[in-house]
Amino acid sequence: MRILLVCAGGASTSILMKKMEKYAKENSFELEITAKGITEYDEYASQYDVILLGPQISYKREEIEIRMQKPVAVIKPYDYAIGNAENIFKQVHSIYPQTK
Amino acid sequence: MVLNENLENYAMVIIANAGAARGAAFEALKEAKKGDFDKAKALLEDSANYAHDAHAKHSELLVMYAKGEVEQSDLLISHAQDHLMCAELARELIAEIIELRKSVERR
Repeated sequence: MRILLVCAGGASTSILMKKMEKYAKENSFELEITAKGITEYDEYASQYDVILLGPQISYKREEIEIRMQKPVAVIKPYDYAIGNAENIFKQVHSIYPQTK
Repeated sequence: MVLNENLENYAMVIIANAGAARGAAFEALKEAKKGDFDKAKALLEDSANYAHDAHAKHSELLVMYAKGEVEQSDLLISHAQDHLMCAELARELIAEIIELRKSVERR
């Protein structure tokens, strides 16, 4: 699956990205993931299946979904804080069931 | 002594909670714009709870720093503090804007 992580500047999602990459490797599934800031994410969105937002831009979810025509979810603050990759992938499945 | 890896965990908890506080505040503003002040109020309360958690974690870190238990701060901690301040300012201003909208609507 291909996931685009978006937060305000792209810094904290980069840390989350590392944790999600590690989880995918450990559970041997394919993952293409990148972290971008809100000012530049739209240039990359077409290359990804789903968009996940950091809690700081939760209020932009609808707007992004309409604009990008892709499933968009906000990562729960607790999962974001501790980098709970398992829960986050479950969330991806719920908005994008096509993925294994 | 707080190790760097542990410091990253602190930073992420602060960022996630400060971020959620900011997000909820902006959602409250959205509801207020629609005229739903009850929903706006509930979201501002959510926002306050998240902000509280973010500050609690930050204070914990400051106390440890004061005791000399943190060897050095790093860029990610500065970034987390940036999130905290952004959230705080957003919360204060949004609460004011919502009050303003309320009083305009009453006229």
